[in-house]
Amino acid sequence: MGISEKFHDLLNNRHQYTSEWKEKKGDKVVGYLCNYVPEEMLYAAGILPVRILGSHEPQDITEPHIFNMYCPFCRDCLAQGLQGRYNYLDGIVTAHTCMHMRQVFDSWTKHLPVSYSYYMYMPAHVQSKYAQELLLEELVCFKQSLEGWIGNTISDRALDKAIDAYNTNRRLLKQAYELRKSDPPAISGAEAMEMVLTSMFMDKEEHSRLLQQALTELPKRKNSRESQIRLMLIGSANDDVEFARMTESLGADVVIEDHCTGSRYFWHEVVPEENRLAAIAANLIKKPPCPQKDLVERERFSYVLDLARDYDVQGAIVIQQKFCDPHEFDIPPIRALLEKNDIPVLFLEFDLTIPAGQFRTRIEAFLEMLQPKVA
Amino acid sequence: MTTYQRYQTKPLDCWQLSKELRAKFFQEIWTAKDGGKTIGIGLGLFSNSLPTSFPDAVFAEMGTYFTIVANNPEQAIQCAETVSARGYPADICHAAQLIWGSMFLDQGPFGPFLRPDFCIQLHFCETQGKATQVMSEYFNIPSFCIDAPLIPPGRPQEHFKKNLVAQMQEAIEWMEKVTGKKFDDEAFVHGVRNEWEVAVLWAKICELNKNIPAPLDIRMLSSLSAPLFLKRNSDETVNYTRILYDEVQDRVKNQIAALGAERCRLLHEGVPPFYFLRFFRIPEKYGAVFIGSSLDFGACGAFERQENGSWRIAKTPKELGMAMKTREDALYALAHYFVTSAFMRSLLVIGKTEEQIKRVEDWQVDGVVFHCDRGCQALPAGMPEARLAFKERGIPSMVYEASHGDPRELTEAQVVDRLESFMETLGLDPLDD
Repeated sequence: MGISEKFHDLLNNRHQYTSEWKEKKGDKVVGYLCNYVPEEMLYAAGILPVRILGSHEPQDITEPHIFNMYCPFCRDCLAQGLQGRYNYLDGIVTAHTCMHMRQVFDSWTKHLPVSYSYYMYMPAHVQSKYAQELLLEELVCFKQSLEGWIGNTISDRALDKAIDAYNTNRRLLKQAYELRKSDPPAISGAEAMEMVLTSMFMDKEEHSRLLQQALTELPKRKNSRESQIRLMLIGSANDDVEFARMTESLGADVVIEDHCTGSRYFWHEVVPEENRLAAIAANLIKKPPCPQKDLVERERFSYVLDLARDYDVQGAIVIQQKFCDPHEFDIPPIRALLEKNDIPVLFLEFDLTIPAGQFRTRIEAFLEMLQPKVA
Repeated sequence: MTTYQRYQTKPLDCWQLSKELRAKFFQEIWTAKDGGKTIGIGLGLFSNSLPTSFPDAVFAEMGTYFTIVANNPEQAIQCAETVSARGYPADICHAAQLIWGSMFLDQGPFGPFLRPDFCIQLHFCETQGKATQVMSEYFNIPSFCIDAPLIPPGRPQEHFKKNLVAQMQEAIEWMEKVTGKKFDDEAFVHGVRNEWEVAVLWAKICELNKNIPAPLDIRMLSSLSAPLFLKRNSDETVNYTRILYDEVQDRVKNQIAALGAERCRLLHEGVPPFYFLRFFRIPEKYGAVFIGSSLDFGACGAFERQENGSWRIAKTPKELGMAMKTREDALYALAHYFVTSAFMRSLLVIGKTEEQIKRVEDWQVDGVVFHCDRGCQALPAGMPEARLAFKERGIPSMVYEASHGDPRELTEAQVVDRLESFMETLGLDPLDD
């Protein structure tokens, strides 16, 4: 099995991976709902942090728990829990995020048996000069809570090791993303998504070993494809790898994305400092922001534009999970920004499942529209 | 023929005062520019003292404004269509859409939209800071955001208060810079004292609605709270709220009811459909009265959450022994209010079901009506879980889908039919007269 297939296989069998990890290690597994959760702290406590993702299968199991005007991603996540797919979790943690994920957290803790749950306040106004200080206090509370649960203290040494493991993984993911800058890119958008998504539930050290293997093998892989139109995906949490695969099958390369399930997950490394929690807090604050936290200045926009330029993007697909308010607020200005910078935009609204035929037609039309520009 | 007790009813004596104050406060805002005053603007639930403790400064609190826009269905639809035409999805917060629509169209219930000088926002619902961001960009004016934390029950609170004090202190310095005016500490301390008194009085008024018969109904609560939203820091509002409290106490003492035929008490959860307020009158013919909602109780009322989920009237800073002499004292008192506000905290969702159950018990409610609001993500949070919990406990409830601000989202015949069916499931028949 090639390395690319390995990531694909791991993603498709992620529950098997985490269950086996738990059995083998005898340690705890904690699910988390937002990438503002300080995973390093869980890892330092000997816990495997696992991002809860959806499956894109039709379901009606969440209807009694979440109104249908909440986003499909949040309903999909809860559905996985209610269907018993995350039964191996010992706990669930989230950081202050949108209302929809808060609802998932609440319903999860009400209906699914976990021995530990924690809601960490993550400042919404990360640009405030007082946000980092507040977050540090919250991390101290979270650490105390975790230590109470596991019955051990989380040492500085363990934190250093966790920070190092996470930073290494971030660095390697970033190197893998560098491979997308070539024309044609050495890895596809779907492959890149699978690398990031697997990083969200795998043991970081093990994942990093796979990434190293990928960085050795993939550049040598014979790329039979010709140059295609270089697209960027922008928007809400998106774990729909099949969508990226379909888009790329139509004559495009997804070369970069701005999703919390993509580049935003790993973009910046923790800069080590004496106070380890302060270092983690600083990294969370400077993360490429979720729109929910992009106040008062639109800092996310310059991040998006820089990515578009660095990856030589020719068009963008703005994806919105239906009813995702924070992204909805950003859609008109971000479209205007990209178009002003000569990057045409296709807007698609995502649901639990996507209308593949309709989207295919729209993407094909979009690519046709871009073709003369590219030529 | 069903027999039931009839209670005395009478119009509120201070109704006229409430209307006059609301009109006056709106006029002050809308004529501020003519008088050379500085206008700060923000959406919903903010301290009025902080942005107005400057010479010649007003604060345009848009939470009441959008309800007036929504009250005119034609105008509300025009606003929503204008916002859609600018590329915003239709399900984005409808309150924001009404305000933006009015702003983009430069028209509204009081004529052309305001020309604010700066935005300032307490951000505790993800809509708020984002809505203000659009306003500040549209007018090209500076904006400041104060992040209000949502804290799970039982967690330490002091570091949050300290953080809020620091943010508000920074806000003051920022406003001094953008307005070129000096902050008036004395006015601020006085205003915060007033805000606290008004918030506690309002909570006491809402608590009086626990009595049978309810002295006020949801429509009265909604209208009577308007001056508190608009200018709760003013002496006039303090005076008005004192008068109102006395009057409501008197109504309780003399069993003066909002609905003479009260035999069933309903709680509404969610933002009301402001273009269809007669919704609340439909149950009256069955002898059922809407006695309020968490929004009516908590948005202006100083309630704190108890461990069991019950809302109790908060203690004032004075009762808590807090000093209230300096700017720092007043900032701390405000921070304490934001951190302990049961209503704001309920947006966290965690623990909300327990609160809803206790609310039913505490306010002696017979049935709950949930508004699944397609234009609000904050208040409908936790509703399905509450329904499940109610079902277990035998508390009747119903859900209707609509919007607080977009009349196109409400199918009147269906909603009315559903409400009337709910009355029947509660064992109520239309009264004979």
